[in-house]
Amino acid sequence: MDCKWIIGGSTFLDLAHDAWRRARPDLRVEKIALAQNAAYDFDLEVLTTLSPSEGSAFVAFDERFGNIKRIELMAAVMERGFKLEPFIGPRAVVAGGVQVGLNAFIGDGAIVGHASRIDYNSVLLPGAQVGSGAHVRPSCWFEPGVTVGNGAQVGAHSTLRTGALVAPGLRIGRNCELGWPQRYGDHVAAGTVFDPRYDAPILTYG
Amino acid sequence: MHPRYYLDAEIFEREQRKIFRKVWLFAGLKTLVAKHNAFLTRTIAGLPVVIQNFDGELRAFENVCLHRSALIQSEPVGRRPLACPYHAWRYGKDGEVTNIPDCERTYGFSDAEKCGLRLRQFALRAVGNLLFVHLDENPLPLEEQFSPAFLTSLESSSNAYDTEVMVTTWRGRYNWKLAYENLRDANHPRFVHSQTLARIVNFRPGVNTAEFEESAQALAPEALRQEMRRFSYGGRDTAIENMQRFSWHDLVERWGDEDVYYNWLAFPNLHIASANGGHSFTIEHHMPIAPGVTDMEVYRFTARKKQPFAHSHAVLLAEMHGSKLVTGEDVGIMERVQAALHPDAPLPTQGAYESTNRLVERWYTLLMESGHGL
Repeated sequence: MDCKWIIGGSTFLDLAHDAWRRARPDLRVEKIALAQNAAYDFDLEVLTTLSPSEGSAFVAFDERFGNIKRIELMAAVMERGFKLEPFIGPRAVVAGGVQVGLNAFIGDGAIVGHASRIDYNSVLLPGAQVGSGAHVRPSCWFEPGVTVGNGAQVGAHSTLRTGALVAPGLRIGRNCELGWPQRYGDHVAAGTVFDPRYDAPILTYG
Repeated sequence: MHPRYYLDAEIFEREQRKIFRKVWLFAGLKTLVAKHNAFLTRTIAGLPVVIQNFDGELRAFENVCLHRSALIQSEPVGRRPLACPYHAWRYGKDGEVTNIPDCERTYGFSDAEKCGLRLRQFALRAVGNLLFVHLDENPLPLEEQFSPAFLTSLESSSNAYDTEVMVTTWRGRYNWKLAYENLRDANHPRFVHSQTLARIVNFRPGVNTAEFEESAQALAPEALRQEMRRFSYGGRDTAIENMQRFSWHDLVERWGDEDVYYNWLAFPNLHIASANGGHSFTIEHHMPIAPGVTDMEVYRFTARKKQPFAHSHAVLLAEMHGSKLVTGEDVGIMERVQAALHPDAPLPTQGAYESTNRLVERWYTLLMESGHGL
């Protein structure tokens, strides 16, 4: 039986491990939890004990540090020769013509409309909805309850939190965080962060 | 100080008139307006101000169109000509009206009338990367408000700022003076920030006996302007033992080479700090809104990057959240102080280590309660 190593940390590691284990009973699904040091670097030593020829991997780490840690880990795992695949939950509703990149995660109950693109390393947690013809660029993170309208574009490394409703055709720049539960009706410049702990959006210039 | 100075609307208005419209005030960063037609807008001492780049020359104007009083620029930072969106009146670098569409036919203005139309211009000075404006038509020399050593330190450090800047605004329910009293109080971090900043930096209050004794003596009215200079100071503050290192530290041109906490206070509206020995900086720009309301515009940026790196935005956001945590503790305590104030509240009991706050109080009360100005 081939192995599927779910590698990473955070509660998303548990979620992804459980999702893979239930979706693929034909595989031996193992959870590989990585430690981080004080500077948040991963301890990758354990990867030397795994053989890429005996299975494939999935990198699971949450949205911390602007979704950068997950992509760093993805790159490290690929450098070591591991094959990565996307995960599409058996109870996700994914229409025809949808492109899904490596190491993307589409959880159960998520809906992705016709001809949309979900780029590599992006995570749609259970219940997230993406309309038709939308483009979710690499390493995004959508929480349950997110709705992205038809034809909208979401920039790389962006995080959309529960209650974010992105109007059709909208462009969300890279490195954005839409954390205020509201309808977003205007284009959002790159680096803009709507964090519920703050009174005003955090803007980024330069 | 007496509670009325933190509560009274008439005193607040007097402060705006006697302090904020009579001194140099921080207004923004030069790097935000580096290109032709780039602009930034702020409300400073109640006035809408625009700083606009005209082919490399920076000018500051009242951001109100002379036609129907619309804001000319509406975004906090942007890039477009100085033209009103309402009826497309356009302005030049001296504030003059350079174009009014269909002027002769629609408005009937004579050439003389057009020539008389000019935006109100404010004095503007750059100190390194920091922009200061003065709202009075006869500004005091910047060098009178700030000492040469302080200006040199501000210039040197701010020239090290990177151009990628994160900015947000927090609204606090406290009087602006509480922020500066708190910033001058080196005794509070070990109590207010015991789980955050004080674990990194060991602030210890010092006692300046001569200053303490001086604060009990009367200040001569003619010394008001000169005295204010003492309230702005900064640079090296306290050593940081075992400063935490992050990989991104190697990716920026650190300002200085000491593991110290840097602290600059430019009275009355600017605080700059670096809690990691010059690898990154935070700016707190205080904007009084009402006696019990202060907006704090918070900037976060690293020292100049050696080259762009992919996770710089994530670094700034993590730093911003760090600011939110630490400054949030300050805001929390200041809001508690403000909430407890009432006209008959007991007067503060200040000790010897608070001599600078006592000097400011002496200066402030003389300025506010006499007919003398700066």
